Amino acid sequence: MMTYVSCFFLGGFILSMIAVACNPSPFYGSFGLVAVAGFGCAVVVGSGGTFLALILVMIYVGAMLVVFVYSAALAADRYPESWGSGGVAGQAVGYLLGVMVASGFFWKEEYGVLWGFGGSVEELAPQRGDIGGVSWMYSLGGPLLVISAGALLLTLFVVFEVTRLLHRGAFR
Amino acid sequence: MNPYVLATLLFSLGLGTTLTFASSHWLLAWMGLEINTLAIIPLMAQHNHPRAIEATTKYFLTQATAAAMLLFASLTNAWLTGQWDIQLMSHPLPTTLASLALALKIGLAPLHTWLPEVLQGLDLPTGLILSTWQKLAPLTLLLQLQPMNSSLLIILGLTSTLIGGWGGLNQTQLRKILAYSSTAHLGWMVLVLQFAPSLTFLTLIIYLTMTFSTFLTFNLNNSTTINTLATSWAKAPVISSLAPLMLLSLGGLPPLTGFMPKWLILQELTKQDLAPAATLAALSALLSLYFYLRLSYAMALTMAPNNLTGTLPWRLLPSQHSLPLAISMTASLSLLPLTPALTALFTL
Amino acid sequence: MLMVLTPTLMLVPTIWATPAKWLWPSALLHSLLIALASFTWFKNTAETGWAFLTPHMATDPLSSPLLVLTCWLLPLMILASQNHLSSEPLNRQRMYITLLTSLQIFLIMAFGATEMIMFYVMFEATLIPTLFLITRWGNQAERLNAGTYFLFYTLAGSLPLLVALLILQNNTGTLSLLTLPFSNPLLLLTCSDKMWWAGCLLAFLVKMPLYGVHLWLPKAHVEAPIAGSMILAAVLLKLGGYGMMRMLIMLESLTNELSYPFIIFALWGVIMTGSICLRQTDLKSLIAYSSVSHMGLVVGGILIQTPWGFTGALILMIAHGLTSSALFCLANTNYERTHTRTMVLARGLQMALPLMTAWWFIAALANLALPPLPNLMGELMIISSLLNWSWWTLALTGAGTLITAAYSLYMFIMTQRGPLPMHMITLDPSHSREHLLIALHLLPLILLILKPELVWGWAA
Repeated sequence: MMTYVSCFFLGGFILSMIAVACNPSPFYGSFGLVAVAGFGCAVVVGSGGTFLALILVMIYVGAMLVVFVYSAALAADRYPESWGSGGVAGQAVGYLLGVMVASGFFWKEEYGVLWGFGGSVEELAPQRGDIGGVSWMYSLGGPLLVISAGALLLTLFVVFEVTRLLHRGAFR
Repeated sequence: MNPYVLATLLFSLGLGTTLTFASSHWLLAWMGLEINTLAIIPLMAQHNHPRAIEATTKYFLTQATAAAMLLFASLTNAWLTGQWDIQLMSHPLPTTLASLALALKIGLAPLHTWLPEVLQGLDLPTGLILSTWQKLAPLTLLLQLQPMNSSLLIILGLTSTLIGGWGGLNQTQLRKILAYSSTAHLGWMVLVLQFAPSLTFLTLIIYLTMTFSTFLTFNLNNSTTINTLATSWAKAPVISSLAPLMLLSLGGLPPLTGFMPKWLILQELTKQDLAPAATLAALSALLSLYFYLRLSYAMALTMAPNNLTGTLPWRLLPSQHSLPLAISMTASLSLLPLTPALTALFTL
Repeated sequence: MLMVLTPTLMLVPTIWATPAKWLWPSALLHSLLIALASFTWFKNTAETGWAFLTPHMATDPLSSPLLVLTCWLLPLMILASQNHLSSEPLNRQRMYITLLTSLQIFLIMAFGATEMIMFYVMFEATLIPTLFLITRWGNQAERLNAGTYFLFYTLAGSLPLLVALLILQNNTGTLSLLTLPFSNPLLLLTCSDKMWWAGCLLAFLVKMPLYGVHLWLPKAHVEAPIAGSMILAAVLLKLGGYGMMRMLIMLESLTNELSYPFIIFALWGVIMTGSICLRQTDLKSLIAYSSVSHMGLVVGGILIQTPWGFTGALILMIAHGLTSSALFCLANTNYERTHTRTMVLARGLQMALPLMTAWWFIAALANLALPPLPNLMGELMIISSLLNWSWWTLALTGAGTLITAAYSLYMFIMTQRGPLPMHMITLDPSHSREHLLIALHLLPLILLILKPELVWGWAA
């Protein structure tokens, strides 16, 4: 059962990667990014990093919001190209074929084992990796968190400043 | 730009570099570099000009690539050796990766192609920040790496000095010339990095002084091409008569300051039995010297014709403070006799 | 050394503080006093050869004639430049004299240095004022080209020299001229040692200039203003010969074989550049090529490495310094009147300026090495030491002497004899400034006949 679920997640991860890579309009592209992020976090959960996945989802959600807003604000096409339109669909099919060919290269029976998630070793350990990370972060990483928050704030400033230029005809 | 925003950005610019200086942990150093990169982006784009936006985008992309590579290198290092300390890199693979990432960040030769393009899109004060302050953080990281592969740095250094000289030969744009000169100087610094890091530090300080005065001179003249330099004698006669000396100092001619780092580096290289590399580096300095010489020809050694009203601006007071320029110009011309004191001062 | 160096440094405030009316006389007087003070360097009673020893500088019989020549040239340059700068703004005149003074400071420190590396730094330092003299104060657009040639020829030779000197310092631990002759002889066997040998000498051979790397010199001479030509011919070329004499001590075992091609090039250059002089139309270019030809003899004399060779080279360097500088001054007096350097256009000047013709005659005779003059003394010593080395050199040196006489005669007849062309109607008469200038060149040359041991160098 777990194998099927993780297969689904990994497949979804690849498909949504292709959805970003085949160059649709920014609107759809950022949707693809959300999907990538979601599937990626699910893969991490599947391999046992629950807390890490939670943090990742939260960061991704925040970031995706920003990306959505600004891609909508900066590059609102009048005639958006979704995955159905000609060039994009062609690229998507090409990438898909590429993935298949590449995976065909590596397709051997013994890799099949690795597709399942062997969490059995880690469950025996006294302390899971990401829980240790939590305790470290709360004990010593306080200043680091402050700096990270500062950096995020700075990013917001920078994005504001750069997007202001749009109205002055900086992008042509 | 709103002064509050400007203050915030400049503060973060300082914070990022200081963070990198202070950290012994790769993650924190990386974060400092990222803060640094982010903070300069609105400054680069502040003039709402498509060329500036293009330069900003290029800069952002290369710096992000370099930072990602650096993060990857430090992660690999942690994976392979279990160490996050910058000074405890012991595996050759992440060390090489990190050196290359930092080389991309400061614009060493095979990875330098973004630098002229980016600098060309900026105004001179921002270009000054880009070619001085932004080099500090990556170079301190490079200084702390324990080089495993000695030939890598020498190859990087030699290609930088050669390409830095070669690339500038064909340029008429001052900012591109300065970009190539920056590449060439960084090549000298990297050449001696593994033998005498304190010498790299000294070279960096002297390079910063000379670049500072060069940018300020060009800014005072308000000129970005060789042609506009020609009328500088009418704008600031004293500066335009000192400028060729400053340019030749940048090219490293003897009794001027710029000769000191070259001399000391060549001495260190010959001490390490690298006389062919030393000779090659010394001769590649001739390539750079050629375009500095051309600049000084245009600026002071020929008198361009000027119309009658064009000769008057020297009577007006300069619109900028000339004290920083005066100090840095003096330092960039006449520090050679103080070589022993300076080498003692900048011992790591 | 400070006795001369400090007044030379103080010449700069003198230049900038004196009122406009007294600028040229006071600069001239000040520099002439410095030149007189520098004569004390001739008095050398020390047994080691080194006198006036300070921690960084000293003189010995080899360097003192060149030092005095340097100091002697500054008042002459000031005297010669006075006319063509009279139309410039005052601050530029002051800047110009300051430039000449800085050149003298660097040259004194170069010839007086007791460390090879200080000699090197000062050798390079003279490049910047000379470059500015050529490219800023020259007259034609080609001066930029000439400046570039000058700078890059010299630097391409001297940057390997820097590396070679640093290698020498690593091997012997010192670069002091006082101790280098007493250090252990180097074991020079490998191919890289031969490269090192070439690196040590190449810079000086380019500076001399050796035939083959001489192309920068005629360009620089033709484009430079009169003071630039004078100092270039009189002193700057001698930096090369001086450096070679100093350097050859360390190159002992290799020079015997490796110097062959260079001696041959030098002697071949005597003939070739002499022949170029014979078909030259440009007066300054002719004098420049004659410098190359004389310097070829000097290179040959130095590379032979006998006491006679060294002595002859030093004498010829001093004598040639005064003679060629005088010739450039004479060419400049013509140029200031006729505004052309082409000899076909400015000929027959004996009719217009008869006293100048006398000076031309003496200078041309000095150039072709007339018997009692020190020029002949130098040439004879070099030629005989070359002859001692190989009989076949006589073919080259003998032909060279003949050609020298021929082109000196050509130069004299072309500029002075014959009818005055019709287009020259209003020539200024000769100024007494110009007579003084030439007299101050030729007087020392004639007086040296009486006491040549002043410029004999180590042989004295």
